[in-house]
Amino acid sequence: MAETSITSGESEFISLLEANQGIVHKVCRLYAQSAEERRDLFQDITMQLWRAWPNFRRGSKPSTWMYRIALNVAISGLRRQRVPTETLSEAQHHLPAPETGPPDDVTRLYAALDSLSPVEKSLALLMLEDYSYEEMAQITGLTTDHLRVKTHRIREKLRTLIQRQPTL
Amino acid sequence: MDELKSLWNAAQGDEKNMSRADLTPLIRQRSRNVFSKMRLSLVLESALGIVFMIFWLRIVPWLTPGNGEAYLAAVQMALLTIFPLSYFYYMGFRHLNRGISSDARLVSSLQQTIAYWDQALRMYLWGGIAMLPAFLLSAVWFQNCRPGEAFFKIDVDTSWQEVIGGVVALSGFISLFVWISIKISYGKHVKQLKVYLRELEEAE
Repeated sequence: MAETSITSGESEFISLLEANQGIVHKVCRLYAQSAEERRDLFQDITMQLWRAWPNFRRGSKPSTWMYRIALNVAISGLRRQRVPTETLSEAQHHLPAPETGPPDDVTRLYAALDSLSPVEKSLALLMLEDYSYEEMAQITGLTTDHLRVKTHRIREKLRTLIQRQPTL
Repeated sequence: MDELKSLWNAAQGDEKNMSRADLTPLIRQRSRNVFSKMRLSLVLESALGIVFMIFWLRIVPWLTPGNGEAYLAAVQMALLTIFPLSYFYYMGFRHLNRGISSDARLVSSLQQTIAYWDQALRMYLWGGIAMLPAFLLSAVWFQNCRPGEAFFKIDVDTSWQEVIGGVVALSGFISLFVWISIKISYGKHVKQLKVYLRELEEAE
């Protein structure tokens, strides 16, 4: 019933968002600490994606477009800092349970990512998502040479941060 | 790096994906970003300003019955406030409506956002500062048209330098207060954005 009240433009956008919402979730996980902040950020990103939708060139890669907007909102947006209200068990529940590898390695990875600056997080995220330097240049506006230097430094920093953490 | 990517991939897939029914209302909600709030704030302020001026012009004849000069001063106060305020709000609204292209590349987006903020904050600050002396001067004139005692009553011994000096001092004090509150509210955020941009652009 709800579908009949949706325009075709909205329907197309929602389909795209539904298929690629993982991108938004990943950005929210990195840039927001609590579940409430992630919800707020998810909403902000969604709204910006919708506002930019008329300018989206059909045929270009949706994921690149979504990453550009999501990272812009996450880094540039002025958001109200929420006082976390979730309990410790709720916070632990939001940590992903890995399918492979010991849980502590994933936790260490996330802890290391949380230690990075917002700019470093954006590049780290794109690296972990296996984006090529050309694709990263499309998102960030940096040259591929510049990206090589920066991503190398971030890689080393991540390795150091992970190694410094205590193992269980 | 491959190990990190494996860990990363292993960690994904646990976020609860939202259904269409959950996603659709999100695009229908009113925008909550700070520029939308500033736009709304501008609209409310201008509407309140107009209502106040109309109320002011209605109440002055009651405060100063039969005093044409006082009424003229009150009208001048209203006009000196309405016209610059309208211009300021119109420019502010137009600027905020231009928006920032959120689908620009990260570097361009940050540059645009910083420039946007800088301009918006300058307009807020200088718009207020420019209007203050005119408003205060006409307020002094109105006060002095009223019979009886008034705040900052000008008599034959009051020099024009004292009047101007008083208005400038009061304007300066209020402007400083406005500047500090703007800096506290938004200055820190703009400074942080500049740090991010420097970090992105630095080669080493």
